[in-house]
Amino acid sequence: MLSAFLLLTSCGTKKVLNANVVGYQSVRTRHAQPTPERPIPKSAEIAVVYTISETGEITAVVYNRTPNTMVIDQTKSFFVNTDGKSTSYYDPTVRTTSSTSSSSITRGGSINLGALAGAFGVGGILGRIASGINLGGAGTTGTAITNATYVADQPQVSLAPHSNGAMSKVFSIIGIGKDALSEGEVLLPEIPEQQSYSHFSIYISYSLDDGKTFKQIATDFYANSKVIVPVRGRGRTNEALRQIYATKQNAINEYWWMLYFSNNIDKNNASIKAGHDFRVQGILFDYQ
Amino acid sequence: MPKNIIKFLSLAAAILLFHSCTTSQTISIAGTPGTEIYTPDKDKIAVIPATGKAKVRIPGDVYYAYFMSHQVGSNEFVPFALDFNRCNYAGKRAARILSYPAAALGAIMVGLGAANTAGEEDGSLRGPFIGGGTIITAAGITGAIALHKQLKQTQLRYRYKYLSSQSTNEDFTFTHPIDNGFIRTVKNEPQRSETQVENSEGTPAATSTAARRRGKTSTATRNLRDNGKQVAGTYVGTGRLLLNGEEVESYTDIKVVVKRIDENNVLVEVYESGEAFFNTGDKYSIKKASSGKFTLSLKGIPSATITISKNKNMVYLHPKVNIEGEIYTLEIKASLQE
Repeated sequence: MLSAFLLLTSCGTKKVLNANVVGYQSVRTRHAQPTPERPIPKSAEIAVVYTISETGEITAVVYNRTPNTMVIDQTKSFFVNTDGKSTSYYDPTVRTTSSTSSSSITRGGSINLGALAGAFGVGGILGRIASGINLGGAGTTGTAITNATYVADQPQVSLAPHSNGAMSKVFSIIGIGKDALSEGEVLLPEIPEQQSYSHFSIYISYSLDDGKTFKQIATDFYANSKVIVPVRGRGRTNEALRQIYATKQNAINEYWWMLYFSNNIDKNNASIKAGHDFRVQGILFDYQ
Repeated sequence: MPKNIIKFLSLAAAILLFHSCTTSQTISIAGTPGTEIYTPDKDKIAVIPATGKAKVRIPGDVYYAYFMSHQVGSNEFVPFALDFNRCNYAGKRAARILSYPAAALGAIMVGLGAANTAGEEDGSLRGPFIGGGTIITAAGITGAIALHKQLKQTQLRYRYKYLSSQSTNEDFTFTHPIDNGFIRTVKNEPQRSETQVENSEGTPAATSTAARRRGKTSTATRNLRDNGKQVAGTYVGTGRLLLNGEEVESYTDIKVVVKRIDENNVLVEVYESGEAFFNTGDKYSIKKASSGKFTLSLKGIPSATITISKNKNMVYLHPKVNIEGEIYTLEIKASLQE
């Protein structure tokens, strides 16, 4: 009877943790990032903060640095993906609770930029959003600039003087995120812009004269690295990670980077706690 | 004899209960004393003590691919992956299998005891059968429920166990990226006057009014504020490696190569008898004193410094050199090679 029991219980499907690769990638902008030594100039009227999630979704938060109301025209603001496809920020076919099959998703609610930035404290690259680079400009307080609310999914939206708002949609970038780091073996620690496997851009149209005339801020991005190392020897993931560090010596100090430890844990199962198999850090700025 | 069987079964029930209670794993993380350990959720879970090893408990229902190490005073949080091995948890699986028949056996014993048919004419086994049977039934049911729940936890479900000894990646020194992007210019931003002065012979004067007051000048290419350029070069000398204040190695052929990154930052590489001493070069920031002496500080390790005198004599001190888990101090004295 005992043997029968043992036999029965051994016939089920065995799940065994598999960690195939450790992957890393980073993204830069064509223009130089502001630093505490070279902050956003006082006369800049608009600043934009970009964050990218572990699934490769990009969020843009616009800062109105002027004492005037800023009108953003979302019909004339675009995301251009790696494949050249352009999508407007105002798309009447995309509803508020859009499905995952769309390349753009309309968001609601608020976001904490400090958390997205992976900032642990003030100072240095990790603390750039809170201090040193003059993000909000004059008239803002330090804490207010680290939180943002998504603007309405409307053709035109207004930002009050010295306030901020996240553009209504997030877009999935081809070639960026966990799916791009799940398999294979790649060794590209420093990729020049012209040779990058992923170029994408965001254009934001804004007006400071109540919508009479519009200007556009255009930000060009490119992936400047991709390193995927197979895990050799079952479970020896730290050795693969160390190979990444040895190959790319500025890995954890890039302006935006992510690490992904591929695995076969079922993320859809509610009992499996998520978020412990990747690390995303950093934010990217633009201004004019 | 039956009493011995009852004792054995009760002991087995106790073991069953024990296997159903443990739901976490304790691992040891090696690193520099004082290093903080964080989870991916940014919770600080340990500080490495003087022994160089910290104990961390990981719940069985959570999967962690990595933790992070952080040195106080540094801005860097360095991920290190958690290695693991396959583990079938055969003991727990067997215990779960046995818990059902154990519960059934216990119930039978209770029944037999109650019916006073335990086989002894004086009924002396009735009590042990009922008592023992109750314990075994309770253990069987409790064990079955608890083990069923445990075996659904991530570690047991996916049959893995973390290696009992892990280590951080703090031996890596990370450089900062060099941003080659073009600098945005903003309209109406006031332009700062440059120190460079145009040659006034036949060309418009420089924007600086101070320069105009000085009259005719000749433009020099020298940049006195480029500290990186002033300290760059190869320094040759001797060095030694110390452990807890005692010299363990001495070096007669040491080269310290200082390469300019920008005006206030340099990359420093150390070579001993022609071989690189570290895995990677280190980025140092530069401060210049009014005496003409330069002090270079290592990003992330403030106690690691290089001083270069006006006469280009270097004193190099690095108190946090990690060699196979031990922390050494490297001292070098060198002079600029002409």
